[in-house]
Amino acid sequence: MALVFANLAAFYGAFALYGGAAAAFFLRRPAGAFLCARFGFCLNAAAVGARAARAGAAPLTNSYEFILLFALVSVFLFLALAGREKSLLPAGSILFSLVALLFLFVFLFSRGQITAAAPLPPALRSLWLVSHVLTAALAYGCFLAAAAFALLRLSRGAAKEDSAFGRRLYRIVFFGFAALSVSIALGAVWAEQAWGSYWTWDPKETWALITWIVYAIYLHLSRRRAWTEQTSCLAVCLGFLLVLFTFFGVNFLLPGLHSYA
Amino acid sequence: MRAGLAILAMIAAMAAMGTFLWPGLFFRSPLFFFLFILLFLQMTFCGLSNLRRWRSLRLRAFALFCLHAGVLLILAGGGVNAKFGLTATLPLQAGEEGDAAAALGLTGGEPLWLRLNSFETEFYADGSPLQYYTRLTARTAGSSRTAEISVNHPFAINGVKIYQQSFGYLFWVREDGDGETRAFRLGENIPLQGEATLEIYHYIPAFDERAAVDTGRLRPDNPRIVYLLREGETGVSMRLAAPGERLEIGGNTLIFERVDMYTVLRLKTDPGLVPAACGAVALMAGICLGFIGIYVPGGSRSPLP
Repeated sequence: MALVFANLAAFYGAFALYGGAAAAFFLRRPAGAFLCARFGFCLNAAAVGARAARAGAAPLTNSYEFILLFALVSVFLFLALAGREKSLLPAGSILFSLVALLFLFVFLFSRGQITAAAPLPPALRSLWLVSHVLTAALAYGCFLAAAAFALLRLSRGAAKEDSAFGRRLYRIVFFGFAALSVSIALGAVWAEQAWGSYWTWDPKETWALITWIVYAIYLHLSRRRAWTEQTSCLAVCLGFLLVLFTFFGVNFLLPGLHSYA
Repeated sequence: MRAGLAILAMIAAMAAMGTFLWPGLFFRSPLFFFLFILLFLQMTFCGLSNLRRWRSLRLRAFALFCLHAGVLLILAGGGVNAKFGLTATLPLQAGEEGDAAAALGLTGGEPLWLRLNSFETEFYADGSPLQYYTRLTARTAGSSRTAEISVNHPFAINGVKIYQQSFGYLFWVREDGDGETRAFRLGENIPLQGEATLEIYHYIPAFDERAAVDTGRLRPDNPRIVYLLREGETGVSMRLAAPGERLEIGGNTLIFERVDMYTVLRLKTDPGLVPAACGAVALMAGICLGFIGIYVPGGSRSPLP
């Protein structure tokens, strides 16, 4: 019971603090925003820990648990990058708004999952699944952070091209792309062990591949400087829209093997 | 490179449409297969033309080579599997022996017989399933091996991989008249006098008598068999029976003696698995090397954008 309460308190606390961080970034109060963001991050991590302690396993099996990790990775990246590079600070308003929206989604549509803890079905009891979902959360977190930085750049209009910004964006996307590639490969291994088929063109698999292709195109053309910075930023934003569709849209519109996610 | 990216973009666009318009069908269509062949050929030619550049042993170039070779091998493995891979489903009840080679259509090769020794389900405290265990003996021409198969733990023998796919229920019914006990599966009909039949319609392992509902749990705490009485093609009534209960139906006396679970195994041969697995390893190696090239200072001499 204490763990349920701790989980609830940590979730709602992180939700409020992330919302507060977004508002403070909009109002150009970076000190207050950073304070909210850091405390929110700690509560987010506490929610993951409480959930893991309650389930007795890695908390990676439903949308609530995944969103906790997704948010944790993106906030960590932001704090690590914007702490060093002050020009990225305004992206905080976008990033924390998106993170708060993710929490709002849980509050509106998956509130039951915050307190519920159903035992794992046999197919989900696999280390391959744990590594598959962890790397997916890592990838999605990177893509969210990259989209926030790209949106910031786009919102500044046709400013002079900044090669340092382009390089930073490329590095974040490459990290996410690598994590997504590993996640897809690990998911394929898990599916092969559990169901005897490493690729079934399940909607989630298909849309993960589509997302992978869009980021692969971005990485190829951005590396060759074939795109302007604006086009690169638009591609990163499109990639993130696909990430959101793969995570939310597929669950609601195209049920398949991943319908528990 | 641009041609390859254009093909990738076409695959993405068509896959997106396929999930909405023709789910399950589009991905087996010749057009989709053709796009992958085109991508494979384009990447092969592009790779060959870049080979000289990649030979320069620069870390970044080698990482790119591994990444692209990995994708090529995965595509090749997938293609080989789609063309030559075989799958089959084999239901087995305790003591039964099934011909796995015949189920897969492997004629002329070494025989493979699977005999089910036992099938058990392990449950959580709340009655939901924790794991399914199939214990079997696999017999080939010259040897026999025992194995335990469970979800996420397949067993491979003679190039055939065996997975725990599903399970079913077997209903042992005794007719008082002849005393013979026969096994029926869900949906099967038991002939009664005249044109009447009894269809085994549904099985409820844990029935809640107070609320008169199926709890949805799989542990057989309070099992009930739902049966449908028919006169010819017309359903007359639907009733519940507990195992061991004596049923008097229109001059027949039936007893559902017990309900056993049988296992359903998935059998597979996948000649494309080895190239696909090598491709995945090459892809991972390329990613690791790419990481070193991008994130470790001095890891790559070529500038980033």
